[in-house]
Amino acid sequence: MSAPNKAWSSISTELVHNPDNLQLWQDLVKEAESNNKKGINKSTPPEEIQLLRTTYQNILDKYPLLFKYWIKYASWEFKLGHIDRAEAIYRSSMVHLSYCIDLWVTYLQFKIDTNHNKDEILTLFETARRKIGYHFHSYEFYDLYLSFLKNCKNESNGFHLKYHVLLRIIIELPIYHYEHFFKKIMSILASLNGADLHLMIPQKELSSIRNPKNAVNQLKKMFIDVYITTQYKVYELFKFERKLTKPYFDLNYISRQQLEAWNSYLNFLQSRDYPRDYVIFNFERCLLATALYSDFWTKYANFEINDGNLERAVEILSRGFSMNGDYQLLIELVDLHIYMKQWIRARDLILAYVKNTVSVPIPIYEKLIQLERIINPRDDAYLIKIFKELILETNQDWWFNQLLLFDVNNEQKLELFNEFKERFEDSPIFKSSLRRLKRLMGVIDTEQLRDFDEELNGYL
Amino acid sequence: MTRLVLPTFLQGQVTLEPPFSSLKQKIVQDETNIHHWDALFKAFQDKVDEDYDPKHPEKITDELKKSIHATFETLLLRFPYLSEHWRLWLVLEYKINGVESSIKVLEDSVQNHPFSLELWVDYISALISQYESAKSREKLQLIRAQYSRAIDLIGHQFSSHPLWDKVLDFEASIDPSSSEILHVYKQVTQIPLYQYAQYYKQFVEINKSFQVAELLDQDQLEHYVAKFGKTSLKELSLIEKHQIIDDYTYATFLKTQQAVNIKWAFESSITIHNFDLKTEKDTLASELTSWKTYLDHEIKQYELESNGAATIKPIISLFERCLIPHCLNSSIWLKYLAFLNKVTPEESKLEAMKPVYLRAITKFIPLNENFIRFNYARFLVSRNKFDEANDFLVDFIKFCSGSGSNATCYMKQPYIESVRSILQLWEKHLSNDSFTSLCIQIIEEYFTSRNEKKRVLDSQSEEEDIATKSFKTKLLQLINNEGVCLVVKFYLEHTGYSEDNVPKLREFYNKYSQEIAFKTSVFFWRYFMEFEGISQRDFANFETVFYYVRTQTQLPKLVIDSFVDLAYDIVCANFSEIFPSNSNLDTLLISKGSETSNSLLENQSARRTLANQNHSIKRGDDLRSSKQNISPVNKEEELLKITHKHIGSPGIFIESTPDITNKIMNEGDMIDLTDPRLTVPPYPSFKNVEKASLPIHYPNDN
Repeated sequence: MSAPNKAWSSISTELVHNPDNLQLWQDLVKEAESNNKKGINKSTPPEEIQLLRTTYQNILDKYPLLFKYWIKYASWEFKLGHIDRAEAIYRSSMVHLSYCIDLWVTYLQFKIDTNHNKDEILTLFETARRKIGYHFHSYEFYDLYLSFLKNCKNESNGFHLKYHVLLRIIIELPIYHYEHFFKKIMSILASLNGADLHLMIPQKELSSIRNPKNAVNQLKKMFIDVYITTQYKVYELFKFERKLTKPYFDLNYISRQQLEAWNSYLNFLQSRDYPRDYVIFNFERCLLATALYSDFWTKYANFEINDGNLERAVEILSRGFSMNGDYQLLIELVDLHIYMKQWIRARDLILAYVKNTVSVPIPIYEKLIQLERIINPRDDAYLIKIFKELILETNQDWWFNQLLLFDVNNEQKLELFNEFKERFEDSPIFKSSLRRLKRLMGVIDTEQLRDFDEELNGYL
Repeated sequence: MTRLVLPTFLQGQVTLEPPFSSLKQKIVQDETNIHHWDALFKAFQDKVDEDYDPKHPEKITDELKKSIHATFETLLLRFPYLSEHWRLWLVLEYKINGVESSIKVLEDSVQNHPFSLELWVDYISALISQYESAKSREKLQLIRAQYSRAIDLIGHQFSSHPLWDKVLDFEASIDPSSSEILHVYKQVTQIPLYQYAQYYKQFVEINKSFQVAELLDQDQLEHYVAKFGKTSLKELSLIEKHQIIDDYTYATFLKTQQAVNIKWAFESSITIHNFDLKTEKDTLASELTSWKTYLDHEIKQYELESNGAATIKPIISLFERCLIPHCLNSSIWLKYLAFLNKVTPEESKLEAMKPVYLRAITKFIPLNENFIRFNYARFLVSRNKFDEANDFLVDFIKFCSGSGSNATCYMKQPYIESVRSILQLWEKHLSNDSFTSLCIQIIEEYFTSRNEKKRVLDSQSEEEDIATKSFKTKLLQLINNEGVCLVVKFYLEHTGYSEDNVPKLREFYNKYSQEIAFKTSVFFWRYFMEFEGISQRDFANFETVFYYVRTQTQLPKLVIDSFVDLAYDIVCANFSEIFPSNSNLDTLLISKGSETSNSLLENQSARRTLANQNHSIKRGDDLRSSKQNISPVNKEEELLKITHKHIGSPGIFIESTPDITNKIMNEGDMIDLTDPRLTVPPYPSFKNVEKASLPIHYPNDN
């Protein structure tokens, strides 16, 4: 039995009291890795390795968006010779980070290094491209992809054609290193001979080609136009991209400027003719960094709602809520369910929240009342009863304001007001709500001028 | 904002020559900056010094004299408490027009600033030296009359000894044992002054030269006579009489001394005595706190001694003294008035308080602080001067509306406040029915005459109450779109939601909701949203009103957002009635975020509003409709197009951007590299590539 890791234990005790301290978590990982300064290698006893694993699993359960820890965790397993475990780690990282380009590049590199089934890797590259292929900084990814296709081509697998088609796809993308890929495609064109025309020229055009040289020149001209177009877009996007100084997740506050930069970027993309997928990718990319800020989840959900994709909006809001626990997102989610007439589901969500929360925000209770009203539409006595319970529970005058909104007999409302008259004697909300209720009942009661002497005496 | 009433001088009737004209220009731009005025006065001074020659007084031109007069008059009319500037004028006046004229300036100064110690001392000194150079009975009478006034006004000021010294010296130089001098000493020894001990000493030296009967009141005399066991004054010996005088003088001294000691604690914390427009706001504010404790203490003392013996004179003097440096502060004026209101008997309140109100209202309180003005109207009403109060408010509304004879511009805030004030007055003093009928008449006539572009006045039936008719006529002439909104507010608040009123209110809405006046009225729209959504629960009507609010009004975005919130709350609370109906209100549950978004792409209503109000879209639309056979454009799309053109660079329109029309990115054109039948994508086709390198057109390029 090896000596227990004392430093690790003490940090872990501290974490019990202070579970939201990221620095402590990071220290914990460091201690597990240092393993009483012995380090970790293949001969480390299993329980010590297990400690390292537990540590990583815990921090990643708590902060799944810290992609560097996923990478480090997987590379430990790789170093220790557990390829399958490493693979499993990468796969589970994708639950939250499937739009994280750094993770993909590492994962794909890992696959290339460890797997020899080229088709499997190709499929994985394509999966990745569908997720992060529109990234402004996707140079590394495409470079890796191209070199993979190039290195693995043979007579039969068609990778040679795929290589050229991929390049053709890339040059239309506005990415930071667009020039690199243009140079590549231009140098291919320069040495393109008649036999290879089919790699660059669409099939239906091939038959009509008389002079290969002219065809290549024509192609060149077209690609220069593509170049101009792409360059124009890159410049446009760069104006926004250069403001994104913190495109990754951590627990620090994000400055208003940074949030505004994301916001205006997303607006810009929506307003220009970028395809839906392109916009969605950037929403996802933005949320990797801003997951704790509900505004972007809301904006994303609104984007889907405006496109009529309510189910997608439900999914986005659920993800956002589980990520940052902001009740505003829950309310939006519940509203969506109400709109879709899934009332029981909506109520369950609210009840689950109320059950697990120590101090429930007022808007959540408001939603609960509204839902009870929808589910029991004509039961006025029940509604009044809930109001009464909430007033007692929260001791808030706000409920009197809310009560006016509901279609319940005014006399019944007045009764409730009278019941709490003494308790909320000094509350302006109570008073103004009562005045409004009386107006609804036909009493004219306006705030009139005070007596002159009384008014002036206030100044003495 | 302290607005100056600009007299002739600043309106260019008196032309100033350089370098004065440029200095004057600065004043016109920033009227309340005293430093600009000082610069002009300095220039006047230099010019006078340069031209001053006692042998050739004509060297100073009439033009310059006129300018100097006009400038000082303008400033001192607006800020009469600038005693330094009165003195500056005095000195200049002496140089350019001689002694007589300078005394005239002094006379004006104490007229306009009657609570200034230094101006009074200067004035009385000037009168005395004038008297000494040529003695006459009239002049002596004048001096005595004027110093008595001065003593009356400022003799209670803690540091008024220069005045008392001047008076005593003067009387002593005429006759050291006159009844006049005794009268002055009798007063001064009883007042708690900083120099109280000095007057006691002086008085002790001479008090034996007066008869005991002259010194003491009848009551006090009888008290002493009884004390000596005598029955009448004649029985007292000379020594006894002197004893009485000593005892009485000393007793007075002790009483005064005690009062001085108490006052000193407060007096010592007050450092600013003059009004100069230069003192920092913070300094003034901290002084004010000391003043308030001082005043509170004095008022409390007064109330404790309320056996009728105490006089309010020292407190009034203290208030007036405080109001020299703080004359622009309405809270002190109001405190003063509240004090007067409390201590003055009912029958003389009007007489005592009205002048104070008028002084504060017409000379000092800036136009952005009007509570005291409206309070004055209510004061008049409390004195049963309802018509006078109305006339006052109407005049003030007229002034604020920019149409009065001395008005310079429309002042929105005071205008609205004063309209509200007059309506509150009517609300309180008329019955509910006559108040609402008065309001609705004003509203109807206002919009009728607006729409017919002429005012239909005095055309009402004769049975109408004469009084309300005159209110209505007066107000109707002064009302504008903002004013009428207020009248509507009062009208609606006084019209209950009774069953009879519901059709009336709906009719009101149908008749007036399109009026431009209501495009910016928050109250109007909130009222009708709540009316349909909460009171009547007619959700079809509610939806119409809500739609109109979002797309046709000119309310600020924040206000519309809060209306969206209100509508959302109403929809949520009444969802079970709304969703089975065929209204679109239920979508608010999922569109609230978009409806309050700042992005035109998300916020459909904002897009519609802006598209309806965008001038270039409207112009394009007008152009198009003038030609035939061209259908009108979709304004919202047009707006989005405009937005597209400058989204990356606000304000700079880029007409066309290069693009590939058959992008591989496009939906449906995605290529799957795992596809075994993979082929090369078609040739790209382009638009606007040739325009990519066009120079950007900046708005100020010609």
